[in-house]
This record gives sequence, structure tokens and C-alpha cells, in this order.
Amino acid sequence: MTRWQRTVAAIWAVGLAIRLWDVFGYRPTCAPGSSIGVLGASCYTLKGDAAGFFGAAHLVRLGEVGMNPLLYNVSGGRLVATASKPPLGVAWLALVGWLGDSPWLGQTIVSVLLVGVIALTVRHSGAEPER
Amino acid sequence: MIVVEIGTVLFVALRLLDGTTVASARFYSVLLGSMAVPLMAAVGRRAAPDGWGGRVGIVTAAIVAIHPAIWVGDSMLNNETVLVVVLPLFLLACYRALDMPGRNTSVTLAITFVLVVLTRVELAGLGVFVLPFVWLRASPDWRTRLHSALAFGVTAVVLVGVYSGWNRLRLGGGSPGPSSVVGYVLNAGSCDPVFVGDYKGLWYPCWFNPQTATAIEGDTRVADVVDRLVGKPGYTDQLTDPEVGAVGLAEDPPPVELFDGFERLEDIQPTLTANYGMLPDGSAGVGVWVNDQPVIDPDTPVEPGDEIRFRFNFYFLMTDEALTADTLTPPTLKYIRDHVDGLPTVMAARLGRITGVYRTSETMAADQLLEDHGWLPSRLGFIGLWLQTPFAIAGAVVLFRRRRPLAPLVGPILNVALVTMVVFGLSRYRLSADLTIAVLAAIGLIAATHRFGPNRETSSPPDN
Repeated sequence: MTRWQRTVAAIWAVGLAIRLWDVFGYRPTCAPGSSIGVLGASCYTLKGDAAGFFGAAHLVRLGEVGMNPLLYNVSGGRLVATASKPPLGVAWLALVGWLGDSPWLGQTIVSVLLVGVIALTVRHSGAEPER
Repeated sequence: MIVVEIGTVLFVALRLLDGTTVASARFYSVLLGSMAVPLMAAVGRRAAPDGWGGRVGIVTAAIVAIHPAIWVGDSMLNNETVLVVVLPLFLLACYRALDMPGRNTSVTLAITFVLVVLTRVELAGLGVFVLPFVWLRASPDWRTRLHSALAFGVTAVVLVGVYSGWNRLRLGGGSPGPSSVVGYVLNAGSCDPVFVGDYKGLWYPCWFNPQTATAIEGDTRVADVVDRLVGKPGYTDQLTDPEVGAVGLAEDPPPVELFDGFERLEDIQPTLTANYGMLPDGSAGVGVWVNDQPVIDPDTPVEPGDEIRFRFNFYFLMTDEALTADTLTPPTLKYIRDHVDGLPTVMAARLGRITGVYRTSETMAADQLLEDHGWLPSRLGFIGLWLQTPFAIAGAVVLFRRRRPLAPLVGPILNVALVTMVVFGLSRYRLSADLTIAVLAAIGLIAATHRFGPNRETSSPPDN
């Protein structure tokens, strides 16, 4: 690795640390139904648009692609098509959910691949030719 | 080997978090979001003037790593997590198309553009603010420009067309292509609270405001009055239909619990009764009242002089998105036409909201409470923007003077400004601009160190 790549990797590690602090320290996920004050911030509650993305991704894992999860939730399971959420956000969370559902070997392989993509990205970003 | 080791650690972490929970989704999302750091470093490297690439890339990476406005969305499980990855890919594709104009780079550009649009629909505006300038600058040869534009157009139309066609098949012929919420979004910035009231320039669920009407001669059932209010014959019958309407919501649990313990029916039920009325049996109404009594029978008799109150039902709006677009868009456009004189000040207020210069403390509080961004990121996100702005302007001047491409970096900023002026001012809609402002600010900062630093130079030293 060049010095530039090492520097970017180090900065990336700092950025990741800040983001992990946000998830686990500053705004941890609330217990459902509670709202705890943490360092002046509230904990994270799944609601609004995020609930739409998360629930739609869960429905994708159940084989129901492009359905409205909020309506499903309150109507005893009625499935109604929706185009209200952009598909990539749902697809990402569906992938994450699949990681959690899949066998351990599948999770390991995908985790390794994901980290590999990140590592290649860092490496590739340093390999861009200077004009 | 390192990759395998880290991957295994992640896998164990996922297991400890329980792989299908909200917490694990947030963990993986920040992992993905952190990729914006190296990706934007690459963008900075490509965007910078000759000889500055390495330093601009590193400063850009540092800003993206620490700027709260960029990282705060990573863990929110919204589409911002994906946007911070796909937008840099689009920007890199722009620079590649500039360096090597032709069919292949145009196809790559089209794929990344579609990825961006399928993450945030309003970023389709980059097709206006960025792409024409890329093609015009990439090659002086009109034939190459034409081939590039054709390759891009065919790829983008096919990809977007497939998704839009799928939506039309599922939602019916009236569905508007890649997204069904355009009218809904426009509605959220078009009523008194956000036009002239305390929330001026912010987001507000305008459809939630109750509407009232008095029954007139000829009205025999409540549906006659509500249908007239909504402007859609048959609306009330559909609203109160036990099979497809909003009757009896939150009473039966779903077959599968989708939200990891959130969105619980016992929490939703009281909200429904508070918002849409409580029926004598204790269940929730649908949002129709006759003389202050909630009703769910469309044939409920009315007499001239009876007061009918109606409120759009949040869940019924989801049952037929084409119908929702038809019912929300016309009154929204009418409101805007009726208040066109106030539009310039509202647009300015929206821009002020998204940049934090209009009613600053209130705007920061809205970012904290409306978006759940937390106290600290809500403040530092705006402060970070203000600190970067003068350097970003300087960076744009440097690029302009050195005849480097500006459109990929300035285009997203113009797009955010336009979208904000048309809809409302929420800080997370600024994210695409935050990313390119980071690059421009890095260039401005490097330029400032050349001009005012201890080792002033008349020409730029090469990167290592």
C-alpha cells in the first residue's frame, strides 16, 4: 500500500469508529416502547420512513417484493403494492436481513465478501491515475 | 487473510447482535456508509487540479469521516446509507466519462445514474445539472458526444423503464413511474403551517389537516359530502369498505411481525382513535365525522346544515397509491396557485432551513426532533456546513480558473437547492450536496494553504 492509501484507510477507520459510536454509544437502539435519553440525544426508534424500509425489506425476505409493510402491520396482513420507497434502500436492508437469516456459512462468506469490497475500494481509490 | 479475519469478526458480531434485528441492520448500515470515506477520497483525487489530487483526496476523506451531516444518516435505516455509496460511484463514473469519452463509459455512467435515481428519485435532476456538461466537455467531436448520449440514454431508459413498467403493472395505469409519492411530497410543503406559520419552510403532513363542509340541499348521505370534499366520486365507499378500506385497523395482529418489536399495535391503536375518532365499541374511526360524531357507514344520512368533518386516513392513503396521487395533487397545486404571491419568501425560507440560516435554533431543534438526529449531530451538522462553505466557494473558483470540470461537484448542490425550493427544507435532503461540498471545501482548503501557509508557493508541488 502507498502512503496515500494507508492514510485514507486510517481516516476510514476513524470514520467507522465515529459511526459505530453513534450506533452503540450515542444513539443505541431503544427497547421497543421506551425512549431513553443518552448524552442529550434520544435512543434510536424505528419509525416513519425507516420503518417503511425495514418492514418492506422483511417482506422481501418473506417473498413479497414491493409490498407496503405499514399497511400489512395494521390490517392483519393485507398485501398492497407500493412504490413509495426507492428500491435500493429496501434491497440493502433485505440483504442485511438475509445475512441474519441465512446459515452461518453463508453469513461468513458474505461478511468476508463485504469486507473485501471495502478493502478493494480503499485500494482502488488510491490507484486512480494522476493526470 | 486480513479480509477473512475481519469478515469473521463481523460475522461473530452479527451473531451476537442477532442478524435480523434493527440493531444488526444499523451495524451493517454504518459499515456500508463508512465506504463513503474512501470513495469520496477517490472523487476528491479525480476532481482536484493537477498535482493536488492526493492532498485533496485525504482532506475530503477526513471531512466525510467526521462531518455529522454525512454520517448521521448512516444508522437511520433510510436511503441515505445507500446514497453515500452510490453517489460517489456516479461521480467517479462522470470523471471516467470525461477522461475516456465513449460508449463503455457512458453505459457505466448510466448504470450509476440509475442507481442514484433508484435511491433518491429527486436526484434525477442530476441528469440536467451534471450530464449535459459532462458530454459537452468530454469530447469536442459531435459524433462521440452523440454516441455517448445514445449509449447513456438507451441504458438508462431500459433500466428505469423496467422498474417503472413493473410499478405500472402492480399499481395500475395511473401510477407515476419510479415513485408514487411525488404529489404526497409536494403536499408536505403546501399548507398554512409551512407556508405562513411557525413551521415555514419545513415539512408538515398537510393532508392531515381536517377539512370541514356543510351538507347542502341534495346531500342525503355522508359520502355525498366527503366525495365532494375529496373530489373523487366513490372515495368514501372505498374508504369504509371492510375489505379494502380503513375500517377495523390495528385490531388483528399481522401473520408475521415485521418490525423487531417496533410499530406495535397497542401503540398504534390509541393514535388511530385520537386521530380518526373513537367509535362506540372503542375501535378507531376512519376520519369522517357528522356533527362531531365519528361514522364509518357511507350511507349515514345527513341533512342540509349538518357539519361534516373529514381527515385523510394515513393508512388508507397507502391502499391505492394512484388514487392517493389523484386526490392529493390537485388540491396541493390549487393551494400553491392561490398562494403564489408568498412563494418567493417560502422558497427562501426553505433554503434557509436546509442551510440552517433561517430561524437557526428552531431549525436545529426540528432536525433533532423531526429527524431523530440527536442533539449533537443536529448542531454540528449545520456548523460543519457553515465552516466549509467559504472554502467550498474558493474551491469552485479554483476549479473554474484552472478549467477543471465543475458540473459533477456543483450539479448536486444546484439540484438540492432547486428541490428544496420546490418542496421543503429538511437537512437530510442536503446529503448529496454535503458530499460534493466536502470535495470543493478540500480544494479550497488546499488552495488556502498554498496562498497563506508558511511555505507559500507560486506553483503547486506534485503529490507523492
